[in-house]
Amino acid sequence: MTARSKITTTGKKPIALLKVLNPFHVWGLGVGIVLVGEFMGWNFTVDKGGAYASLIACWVIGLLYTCVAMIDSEVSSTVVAAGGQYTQAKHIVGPLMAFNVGLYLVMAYTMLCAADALVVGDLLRSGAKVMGFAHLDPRPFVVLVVVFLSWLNYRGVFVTLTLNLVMTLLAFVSLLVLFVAVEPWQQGVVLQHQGLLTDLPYGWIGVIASLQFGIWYYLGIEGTCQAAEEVRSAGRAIPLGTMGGIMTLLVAATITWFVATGLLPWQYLGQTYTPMYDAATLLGSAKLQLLMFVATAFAAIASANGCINDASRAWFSMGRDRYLPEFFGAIHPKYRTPYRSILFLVPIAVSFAFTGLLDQVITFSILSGLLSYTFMTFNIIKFRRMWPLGSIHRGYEHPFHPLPALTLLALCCLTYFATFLGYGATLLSVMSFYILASLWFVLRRYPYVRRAEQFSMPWPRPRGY
Amino acid sequence: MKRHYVPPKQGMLGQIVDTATVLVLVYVSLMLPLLFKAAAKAENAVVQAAVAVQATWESLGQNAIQQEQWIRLGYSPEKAAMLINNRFDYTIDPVMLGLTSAVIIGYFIFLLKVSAKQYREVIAEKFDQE
Amino acid sequence: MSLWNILGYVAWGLSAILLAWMLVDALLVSSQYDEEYLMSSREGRESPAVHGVLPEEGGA
Repeated sequence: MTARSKITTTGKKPIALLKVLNPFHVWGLGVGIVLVGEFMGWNFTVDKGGAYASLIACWVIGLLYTCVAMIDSEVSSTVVAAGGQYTQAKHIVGPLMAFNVGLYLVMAYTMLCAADALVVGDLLRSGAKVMGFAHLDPRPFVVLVVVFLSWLNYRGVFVTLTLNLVMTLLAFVSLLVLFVAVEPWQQGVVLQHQGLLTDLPYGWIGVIASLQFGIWYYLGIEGTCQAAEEVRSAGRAIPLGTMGGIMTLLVAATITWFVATGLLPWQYLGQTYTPMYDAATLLGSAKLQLLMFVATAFAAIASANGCINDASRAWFSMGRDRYLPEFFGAIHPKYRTPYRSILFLVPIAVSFAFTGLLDQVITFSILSGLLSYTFMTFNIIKFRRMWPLGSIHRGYEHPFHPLPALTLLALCCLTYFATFLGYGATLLSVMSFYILASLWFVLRRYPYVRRAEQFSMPWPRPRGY
Repeated sequence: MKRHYVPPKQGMLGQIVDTATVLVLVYVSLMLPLLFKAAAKAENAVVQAAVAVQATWESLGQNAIQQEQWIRLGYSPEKAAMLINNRFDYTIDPVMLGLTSAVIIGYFIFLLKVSAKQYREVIAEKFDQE
Repeated sequence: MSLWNILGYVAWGLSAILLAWMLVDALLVSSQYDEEYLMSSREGRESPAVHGVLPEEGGA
């Protein structure tokens, strides 16, 4: 190792991520990760409790995420760092919490990315089938999706997220097109709600059970704040992009429910893997079918793309603080991306996709999300107590505090219960993972962490400490 | 005042070992529920096979509009019966529920307690020196 | 041997090339730049404007 020929820090500014993004990128990142959920996944709520249960879940979980978006916008318009909620936890709750939050982020996004890649693979297989080739092996395409998107991410954030924005917009517009195509202004011609909607098949317990997959309507919107170190004006762009995103999703989710339940019997809808494509098939228009095929693929690719972006930012931030091996804290000198984290997560995402445990992986992802929303409730309560309004500048202040926090906590508890109903064993094994990881962090990793440096925000001393 | 804490520098081997540890933990917890699942799945399959014989739209409780949509999706009553009769069991085991809530609540209490202790140390080192 | 089979091989090939490209590039970076420099980024070390000390205008 001859360091003398190498380019070093001397006389140079420290390296940093590139600040190039605007509010539209933030919107694209947030909505892009989620929108695939409207093309597949949300419909498992129908399976759990019937069509009306799905609509209730859509709005109840919509309320949960509105709370998440409000709280998150406030904190992340103030804590501007690539780690997002991880950095928030570090500054407001403490290191062990931060480590866990960082892991939630990485796990939720990497597993979601694997699921997205599988969707693309499945879609191609059914496409090949329609074109007369029955046994397509989807694996090379799954790998290609993950590797290609990682390569894009590696080469720079601007192109990556601009592509994301375009694909997300197209997928969203195609949902609107489908909505118009079913002639929503008249019942009984295309839409058959009066014949297809039934009473709650499981009663109210089914409604609660459906909350678990209701998460799927919105999971990932909170990932917007992972872009904080790369947007030009974080205090403005993050709240704008996030709140715009949640509104888009509420509209998209309701449209999706309305169209699908008006066309498909609930037992079918609850168990298909391609609800929107099936809905288009029933309309008998080849053009719409093709549109839904392309839109589903775009949504899945945009989602995988956003997930790679977010997971690598979280992994990178933890490496930078030495919560994880510091090797991952490097930034590419030319592309200014956390290139080692991006590269490291490639084989992991692929291996998740190849385990064949799709529902396990999805539940792990949903639960990791849920755990991080639970964290947000005490995060915001402590944040307001330790730095009251006016003591530091906030880019955005959310109204009605502490009502959103308490609502969020109550809804989280309900959703844990829903997960217990459907995936009790997975719930326990996910919890045991985080408990073991926490012990490992306290005993093994924390000694490597610098203490005062973790607190990087130029804030005054917190009240009460 | 306490002295500034200087962490040791970790070598490359240690970094690799630590990365591997996290990965092993993830895979183990992904595989773990399969042990419980395998038993439940076998049971389910038997029940389903028994119900699937001799289904008609009427016996499946499908009205005219529902029948029409099933047929347009390319389903016969026998095939649809597999989906229609696939129902969840929402009986709650109070012991498991108690255990699960204890685990989740205990986990968060543990997190908050340990974090608070570490956090005081961080704040002390950061602000007492300035 | 149909079009889809060929597409499958193309996908494998492209994945391998892109992955190799990233690996080689990462190794090249390690050999050209000092580790200290690559890891010199620090959270919150940019313009104080974005961190809520000053009212922000235009970000960076």
